Amino acid sequence: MFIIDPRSSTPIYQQIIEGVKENILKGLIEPGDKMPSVRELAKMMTLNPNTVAKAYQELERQKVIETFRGRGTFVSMEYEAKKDGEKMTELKDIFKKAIVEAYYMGIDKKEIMIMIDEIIKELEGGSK
Amino acid sequence: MISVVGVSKSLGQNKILDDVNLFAKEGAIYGLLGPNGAGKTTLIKNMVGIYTPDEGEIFIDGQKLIDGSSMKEKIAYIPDYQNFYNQFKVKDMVDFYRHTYRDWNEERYQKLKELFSIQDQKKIRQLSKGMKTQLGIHLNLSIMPKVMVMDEPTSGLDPVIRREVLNLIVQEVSLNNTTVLISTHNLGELEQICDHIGMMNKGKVLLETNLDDLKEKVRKIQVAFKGEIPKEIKEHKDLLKIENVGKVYQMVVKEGVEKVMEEIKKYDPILLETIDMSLEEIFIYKMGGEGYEFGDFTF
Repeated sequence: MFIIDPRSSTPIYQQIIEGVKENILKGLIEPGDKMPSVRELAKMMTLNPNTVAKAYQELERQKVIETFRGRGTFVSMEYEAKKDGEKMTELKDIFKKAIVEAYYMGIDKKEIMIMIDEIIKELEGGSK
Repeated sequence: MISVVGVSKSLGQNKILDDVNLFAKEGAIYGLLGPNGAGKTTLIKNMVGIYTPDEGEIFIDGQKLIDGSSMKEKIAYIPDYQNFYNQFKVKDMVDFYRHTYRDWNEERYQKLKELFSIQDQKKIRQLSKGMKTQLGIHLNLSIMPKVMVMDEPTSGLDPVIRREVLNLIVQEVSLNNTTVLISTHNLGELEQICDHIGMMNKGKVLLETNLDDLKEKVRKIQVAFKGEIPKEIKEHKDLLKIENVGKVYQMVVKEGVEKVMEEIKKYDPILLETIDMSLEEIFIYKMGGEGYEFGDFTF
């Protein structure tokens, strides 16, 4: 499903949360799909069940997944995209690195903007 | 649940454990780490009732561990060296366990046989270290333990079996809410399955914490200033270690990374960021802070 790096300083429960969200964004799992149970996921990925349970609790709190007693856990039908502060800083950092690189290659602001426009067009074209 | 309260133990003239306190809650996978000679194995032997503490008490699931306690039946113990009877055949050893432990689960034993392929007719002394460990884990999982105490369980195991063993531990915890305590030097393994860790050195538990919290709290700060680094920062009391390559300084902070970052910001750094640390790095720095450290040794 997704890769967990136990050596990373990002806590494993956080990595699970990000992994699940990423899979939903990519469309690998869709709203209404059944998620593996805590026990199944722990076994599948050799992770501590307490850690998986912690990640599921947080995902539930964020309304990404829902648990129905006796039926299991499902991807929520009503998840709304939210701009989260920490992610924004991360994103800014990624842009920053690319812009520094561009600057040293002699690409100016206008050209960067054109490039971004092109990329967005390409992505939108691909999904339609 | 394992609870160690103020345990001290001397072997001969040496005080191996000095007022040790440790707590592993039910269903936790607790990683015990520390340098060689820290007292991990001695502590473990106290936990499973092989040694009796000189001072202090040990509780397993709320019951005090005493000689002849029926609680011992619910403790699975995987020692660093399996001391089975050498002249026994594997099947005799299995019989021994079958008759000793009242909650022996035959169904589980048979099922695990698919995984561990040790021939019944072999003599114990013909088995390699890894094979003995496999047999130990096989038998101990079949007694339906409430508590599993494992001393270097994966040393000597091949990568395939090691992964299977970790998987068995994880399943055991999620099925039966068993409490597991593992001592190992393989920190990568600990990071993967443990939720709590305890660090020992010189007979004491220095630190006991939730692994997620530890990783979020302990981080390296990377900083550079236009001119010289301010003295207040270089000699800050919370620094565990500071190193530099040219203008860029990397520092490890005891606690309160945010607080130190705020202080650094006052001096207008040209670079300020935090870097992730693995458990291995955290361990080395923590032990360094305790005086367990090797300098930069070069031949």
